Amino acid sequence: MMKKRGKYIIAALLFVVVFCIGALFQSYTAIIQGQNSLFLFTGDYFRETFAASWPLSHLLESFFLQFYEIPMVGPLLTALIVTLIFLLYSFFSQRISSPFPIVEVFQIVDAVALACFSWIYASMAETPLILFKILLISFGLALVALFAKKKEAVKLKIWKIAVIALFVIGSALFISISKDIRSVETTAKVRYATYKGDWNTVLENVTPKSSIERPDLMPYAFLAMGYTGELGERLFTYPIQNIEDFDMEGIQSIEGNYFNSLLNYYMGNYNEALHHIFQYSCHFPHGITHFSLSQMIRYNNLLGKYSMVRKYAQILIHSPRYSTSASKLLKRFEGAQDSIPPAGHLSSVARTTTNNPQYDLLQLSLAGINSKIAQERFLCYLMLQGDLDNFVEAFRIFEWERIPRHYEEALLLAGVDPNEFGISAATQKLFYEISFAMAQADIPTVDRMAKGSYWEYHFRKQKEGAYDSGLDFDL
Amino acid sequence: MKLIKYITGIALMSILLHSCSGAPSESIPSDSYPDIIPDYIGVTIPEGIAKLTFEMADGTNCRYEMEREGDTLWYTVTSWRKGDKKATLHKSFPVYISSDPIDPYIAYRLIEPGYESWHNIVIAQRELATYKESRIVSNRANDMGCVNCHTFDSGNPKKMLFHARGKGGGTVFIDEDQVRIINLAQIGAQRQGTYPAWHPSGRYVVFSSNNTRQCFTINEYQPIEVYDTASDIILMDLQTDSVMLVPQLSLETRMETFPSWSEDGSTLYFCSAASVENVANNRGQVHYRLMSAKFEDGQFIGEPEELFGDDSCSVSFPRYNDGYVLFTHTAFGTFPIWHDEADLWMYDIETKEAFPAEILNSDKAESYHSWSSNGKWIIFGSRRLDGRYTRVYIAHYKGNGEFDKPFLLPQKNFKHNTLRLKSYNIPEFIKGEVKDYEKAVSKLFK
Repeated sequence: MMKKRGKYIIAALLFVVVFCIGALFQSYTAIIQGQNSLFLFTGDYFRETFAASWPLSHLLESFFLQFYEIPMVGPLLTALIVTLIFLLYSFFSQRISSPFPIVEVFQIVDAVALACFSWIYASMAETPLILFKILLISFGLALVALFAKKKEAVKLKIWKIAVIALFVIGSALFISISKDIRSVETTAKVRYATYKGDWNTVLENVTPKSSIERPDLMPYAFLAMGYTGELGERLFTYPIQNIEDFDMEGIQSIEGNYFNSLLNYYMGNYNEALHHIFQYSCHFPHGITHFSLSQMIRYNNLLGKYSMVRKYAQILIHSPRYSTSASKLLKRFEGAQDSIPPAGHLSSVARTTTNNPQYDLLQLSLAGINSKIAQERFLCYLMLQGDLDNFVEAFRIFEWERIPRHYEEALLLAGVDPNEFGISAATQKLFYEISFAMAQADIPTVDRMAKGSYWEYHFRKQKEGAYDSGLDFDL
Repeated sequence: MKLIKYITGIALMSILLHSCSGAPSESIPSDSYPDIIPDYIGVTIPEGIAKLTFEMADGTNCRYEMEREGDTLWYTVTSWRKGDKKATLHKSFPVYISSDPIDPYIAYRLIEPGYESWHNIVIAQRELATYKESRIVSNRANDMGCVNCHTFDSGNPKKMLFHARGKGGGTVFIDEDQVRIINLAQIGAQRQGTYPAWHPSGRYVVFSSNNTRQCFTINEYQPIEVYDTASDIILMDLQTDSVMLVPQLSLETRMETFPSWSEDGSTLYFCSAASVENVANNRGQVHYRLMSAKFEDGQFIGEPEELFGDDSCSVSFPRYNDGYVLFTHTAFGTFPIWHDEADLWMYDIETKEAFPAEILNSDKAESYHSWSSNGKWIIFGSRRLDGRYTRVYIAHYKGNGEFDKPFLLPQKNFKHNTLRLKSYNIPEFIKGEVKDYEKAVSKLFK
């Protein structure tokens, strides 16, 4: 009785540890994995799944993964599967005799080891597919073992308990301190917060300090600051080295497409948001995900393309996870007529975007999309390029209650009349002090005073000779 | 055996009962046709095509009875909402059966109607008498690169070509069991092939060689414009595997594209537009004309002739049959599938007049089209269902430039059209079933 109970105590402990570690260190990773999954009860879906290798594991993974999008369900299901692997394999190893006595000695330990290695491997992979492969194999082995005669259960010796504890604690430690896993989790957290419009979380997780190690996340912070109106105030407190650090324009990666889709959505450029979500979808096995389907519904709704909203909702009805919400959505959009352009309208007159952010932002404005984020991003591009003449021109177009700090810095560099623009006395004072220090060639003072300002970025770029415009500011 | 029959019988009975459950026993006759989707009312179909399936456009329940009277099928539809005490018995609608035979198979490419990237692409075939769809080749064969522009030698299922892009890519030529790949860019004219047209003799293939780009509109109804910055025509001789640039169809100041042969192979129809600077911004100024060029003994003779077009329209995909050229008419540009105003038009070679084939068109894009081998049917892609996902329509050609009402390619269940997240691209008739060439093509990429 005691021997039997030992196995279930290990299973319970394994479940608790895997769940807790998952909840603490991989909860956002699981949400993003859930977003990127797809499971549909449609003919095409099953045809495509069975055309690929390991179809059953893919099917099983996709089925479970769709629920990972619900907070905490991912860690819970992962814990359940790891525990199942342990139970199934230990069932097998307790029934099948091995020609090697050493295998018998390690009974139970081998099942824990298999569960732990699968867990670690799955935690480090893009998706937990390996768990489902191992689960299927374990299930197959357990089925085979059903036909074997049950052996007497081996007593859990102290050394075994120690080794099992070592495996479980070691795996937990490995996952909780792994730099890669933490990095993926941070990215997932930032991505999810951006999707939700939770700008405080974005800015809490992408700070000037953290950006030294993770400059790739800075575009999320700049998007958040565009939304909170802090871009002109805080942009250069981040370690931005080049214009490329500002966004992910032209980056055709999962990350780039995800970011650009949300950026364009928040700027009100829904066609581009759709463009990037389509591109994003192409990175996944079925060329579409639950997330991209729901985003396509969102963007098409904003564009007044209700036929498309209905189509995607009808598809999502075939997903166990989204069936109910998709049915409600379908009812809401029943009979809604598409917003179509007037007769004779030709799309050739429409403004277009390319992969040139500055040009695109200008086009956005010319197309009548008055997005505050787009306007500020446009000013930032001009600053980052050192194109101060155009910066001043563009700055005059927009209205300001209070001029953000970095814009004041750029205006002073451009040589405008500070009083005409209403530049604060504090910034003017600092500018003249830095100018004086520069005239004295007191570089340490200049560096100290300019730190975290547009001037710091500008002087560095001038020194590097990196501005295309070849601006020359003789201070 | 008896038991199996008994169980099957019970199952069928329960399905039947289920499908009719909730149907009111009484019905009120109506003078109007049922509002069904797809619209099969009054269409003309070939003998032996897979059964037409439809549903009520407003989602209400329906059942139907079908009766054949000579060459007409009469469908009588009864519809009702859940909880209705009386159903509506709609006026019977006709579906006409043409005695003109149709090719037994069609081929098309299934691809997401997306932008620069893709995931799964399949060149598939469909047996018209059934709902059976099968693979000819997919992009798993070339490591998820693009596969496109499938073309058959006069609809011969044993002789086809398509482009397989990516590392080690080129144009794949299939002649029964012989499968080979040729990178056109590495021979002769050193141009990549794009839109192909197989000469009726089977010896030559002309390709346009296009430099294609895209731009994206800001919150415009039409989200994308695909355009060429340059394009020329190249000729390949399959006997010698040589490729040459056709000088009179590759003018520096013009863009030539969409080649297509006349039935006897003596004339090449194609489209040509004056080159424009900064095409993305000036795309409204790009107007392709319908052109023709004479071909004899493997050579183009004389200067090409302009047949139709002006600065108010643009011509794509000319396809000759019975003294007419069927083409896609748009306001401008070279990629009609994204143009809602794209319609199918006919050009009469004799009278030199062009006119819209009204019955084929909708308020959404009609685009790629081709003729059946006997010239009695056409197949074309249209986005009329939802504006984005291209579906395949077939129409009977009555002669004298006129068509019967087209019908949507029947599926086992109409919902398949909604649930499928792929567009049907380049629909072509084929005279028989094509083998699955996945393995053979994979070998070319190993």
